Order: sequence, then structure tokens, then C-alpha cells
Amino acid sequence: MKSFYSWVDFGFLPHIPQSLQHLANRDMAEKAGGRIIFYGAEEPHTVASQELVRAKLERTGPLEGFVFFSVFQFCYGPEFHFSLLKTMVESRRMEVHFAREGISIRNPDQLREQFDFLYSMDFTRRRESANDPFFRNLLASV
Amino acid sequence: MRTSHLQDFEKKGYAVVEAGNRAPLENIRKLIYQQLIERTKTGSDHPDAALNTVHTMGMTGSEFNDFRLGMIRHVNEKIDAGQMIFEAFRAPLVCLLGEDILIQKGTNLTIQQPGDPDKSDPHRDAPPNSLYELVVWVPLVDCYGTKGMYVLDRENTQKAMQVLDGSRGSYDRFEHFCEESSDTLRVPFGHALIFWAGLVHGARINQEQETRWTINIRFKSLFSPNGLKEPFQFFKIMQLSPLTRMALENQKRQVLQ
Repeated sequence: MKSFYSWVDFGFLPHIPQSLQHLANRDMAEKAGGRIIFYGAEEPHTVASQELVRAKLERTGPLEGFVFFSVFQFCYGPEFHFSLLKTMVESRRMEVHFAREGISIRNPDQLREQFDFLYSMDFTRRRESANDPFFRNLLASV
Repeated sequence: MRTSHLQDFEKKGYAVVEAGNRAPLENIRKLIYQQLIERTKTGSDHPDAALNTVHTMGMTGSEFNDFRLGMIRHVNEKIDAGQMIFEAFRAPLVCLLGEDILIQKGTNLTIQQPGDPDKSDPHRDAPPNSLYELVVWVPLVDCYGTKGMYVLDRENTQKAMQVLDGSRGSYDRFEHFCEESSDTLRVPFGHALIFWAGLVHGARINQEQETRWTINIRFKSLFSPNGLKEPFQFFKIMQLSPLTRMALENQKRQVLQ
């Protein structure tokens, strides 16, 4: 059975409490044929940089991948953190799953396949966040 | 899309359009028909007649519901209906949306026997869906009268939404207004009703002597506003323009290098 880290989304906490995010992540891990072996989250001042998950990635032992609650976790900085995703999937050969959106990236080919949609949606969401109170608050909350 | 259809669409918010390529629709119907025969071990030799007369097989209550759910699961797991519908109606869809198109991941199949009390109450998809979304409603059998669906044009949708003001009893008044002011459409097999997701629509109890079989699916432009439906859950990329493909290739090279 695969082992995953569950990483909750700080930005969604006012709307979806940590316990519910963990439930969604656990369900996603099971669908991906694995289980959660460790839970984590960013600190308020590392949400944009994803510094804690980067550190965890450096220090962790054998692990099949991460289950994030949301794709948004890669969007809180000034640009989508494709480099982090690439490090996880290509350099570390890990799987990355997103529970809220139901997205799974299991290998470098899938990362390239998903790139077009991830990139385009990041673009449209950044554009919309200026006018949409929910997304504006979400981004402002971090 | 013919100019008259486009004018209809702009004025009313919907148009009944004939497929530019009918073969994919025939193919969807054949695949659904084959599954119907496999599940029921009976039925007419002709897909049209077999689908229209499903109610004569005597399935009722939970048995019919299990049959319906099984058919829906089959369509979503085994038949790429979205791709085929896009091929059938490519010209009007590209005309309305441009070349960069998202398609709904799942396909909605509805099967409504005569007298089935579970009608579709009047509602609109957007909001919460994006106002930039199109619904493509594709009958697998000829639909007419109460076997079809009804839709309110742009003007009547606006009036209906004023009736639905949230006060007590306003939904009943809204429903009454919708049934009085809607256009009941004749949509033969080989055609689709393409309508703006912001229009109020619904379906009455099917009081014809044939079963209603329809598919509906949604499309939007890749770069249009998203609405409140989570795009990654709901949509996937159907096609990209050559220019967008080129630009994204370039971004991909830079970002994933």
C-alpha cells in the first residue's frame, strides 16, 4: 500500500475546517491506492512560499507522494509553483493528488498532460479573483 | 451554424440546430441501444423503436431506477458521448465559443417513461455555473410536446427571475409563470437544443406514449470566467486553437524545463 502525506489548505480553513479537509484527503489517498501516514500544513507566513512542504520534502524518507486538499495551495504566491510540482513528480518520483479537484498526477507524463489545464485555470482564477469576493477573500486570507 | 440560427440564439438565448455530422449521434444511439438489449434481453430490432418503447417492458419502481442508473453508469464509463456530440455539432459550438473549448467531464443521460412523476422543475444552471457556458441537449429519440423540454427565452427568463423574489409562495408563482411562458420545443433526433446556461428550463411530466431519452452536456471557453463549479472537477479540455497550443507549449518548456 502506498504511503502519502496529507497537506491541508490554510486558505480554505475559514470555510472548510481542518478535520473535513483531512477526511477528503484520506478519501483521495484511498482512491489512489494508499493511506495517509502523516499530516501537515503551512504556517501563515509560509503559505505563499510553501516553505514547510518544501522542507518536509527534503527531509522525508520513503514516501509515495502527497495529498493536498486543493490546487490553490500552489497558487498563493505570485505564480503557480510548477517548480515544486516538478520536483515532487520528476525528481522525487512522487505522486501528487488534489482532493478538492479530484486531480491525480502520478508521473512526469501526467504532469505534462495536465499542464495546459493547470496553467490556464491559474491564469483565469488570478484574473477573476479581483472581482470575486470568495476568491479575493481566499487570497487575502493568506 | 446558419445565420438564422445565430440570430435566434442571440435573440432568444437558444437555438434548435441540426447536426452537421449525424454519424456520431447514430453511433451514440447504437451503443446505448446495444446496452439496452444486453440488459433487458429484449426489445425491437430498431434502436429508435426500442428506446421509445422501454416503458412497455414493465419495469417499475426500484427496478426501473436500477436500470436507469446502470445505463447512466455505462454511458459515462464506456461511451465517449461528449466527444461524439462535439463532432456532431462542432460548427455551432466553435461559432459560439471560439476554438479553445472545455467540455463537461460527465454526461447526463435522462430516461423518462410516460407518466413518471419525477419531472425536472424549472431552474437555470448559471449562476452557479458560469454565464459563459452552453448547454447542449441532445435527444436520442424524436422529442415533442411533453416528451421534450421547455425553455424560457432571455426576455421571459428575466421576468421569471423577478417573480422568484424569495417571498413566501414566490416559487409556486415562478413555476406557474415558467409553464405559461415557456416554449415547448420540437427537437427531432439528429438535432440539438443549444442554450445559454442562464436560461430557465425544465421538463414536464412526459404525457406522450413514448419514453424520453436525452443526453445533456456543457461546454465553455477555456479562458472565460469559471462560475462557482470547480472547473477541474467539472470540465476537461476538448480542443485548443493552434495559437493557444503553441503558446502553452512555450510556457510548458519554460516552466517545466
